[in-house]
Amino acid sequence: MSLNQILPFVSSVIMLIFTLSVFQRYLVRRRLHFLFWAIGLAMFGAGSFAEAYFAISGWSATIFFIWYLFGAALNAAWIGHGSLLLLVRKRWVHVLTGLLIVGSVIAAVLMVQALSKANVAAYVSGVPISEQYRNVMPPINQGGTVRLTTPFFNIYGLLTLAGGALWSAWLFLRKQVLPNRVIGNVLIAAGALSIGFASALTRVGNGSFLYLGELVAAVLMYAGFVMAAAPGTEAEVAGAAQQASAA
Amino acid sequence: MGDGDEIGRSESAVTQSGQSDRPRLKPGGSRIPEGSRLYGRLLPALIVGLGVLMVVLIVVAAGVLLGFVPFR
Repeated sequence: MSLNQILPFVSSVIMLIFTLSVFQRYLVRRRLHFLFWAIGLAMFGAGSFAEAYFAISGWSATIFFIWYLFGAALNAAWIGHGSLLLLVRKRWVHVLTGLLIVGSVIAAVLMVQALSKANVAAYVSGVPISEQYRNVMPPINQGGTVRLTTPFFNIYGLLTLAGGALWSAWLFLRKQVLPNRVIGNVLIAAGALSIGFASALTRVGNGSFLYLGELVAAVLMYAGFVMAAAPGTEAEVAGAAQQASAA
Repeated sequence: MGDGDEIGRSESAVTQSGQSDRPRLKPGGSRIPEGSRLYGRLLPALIVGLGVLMVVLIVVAAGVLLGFVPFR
């Protein structure tokens, strides 16, 4: 087995654990940002799983749909929107929530259209999908309009996820409090930027670092989340106990 | 995506009370050690560096969108 076949498997497992951990937190606290994080992380994990599938199996239109839509287009925007929901408590954020949901549905419809015009004959087994998706997907002016939407989602995701984490780290640092959250947020930003960097390389024609970038992102973001969330545990347990006793 | 709500509440608590120059913390919280090179120099530099990388990546993505960077 080559490294490019192993890396997506490892990333998938890490993202599954990460997603369940965040979703469990949503179930306990019922805060919307945890739900958006969990959905975005699940999309990230689904993208990694799709890569793992392609690494050991042949062409599948459904798996390609999952890989491009969730793995390449949407996940960063959904995770980043979770960060925005946490950091900004204004009504206009919910307008963005609506736009994100509608935009994601439109991207899904465009992806279905692109799939119907995909050049499946160009798919080569054994070659990472990140290095050959350009040959499979139709050009933008021939049904591949979904490719135009990807930069919008990724710019938004990078700005809100990496920008939000850096902003949080800076706030904690400026106030000289919660050192674990400073480091945790820096790790999250570094993870988001590592996948952003690998995606940018893929977009300009070099997809060979994408799987490594994903693994680095999964490890850094999970480590950052665990570190940033640690001190809240006591307070959350106390809060949950209060809620239980009040019920 | 690390929890940032705590600092927000702390900031408002400080502003309203006006009695302390440091925010109040939750029981599990802690303070950054004074004179630390990690928190005083390394992490601020890292934050700025990562911020610059973020801006570069956004410019590249915008360049792809606007046609300045070859779309492949």
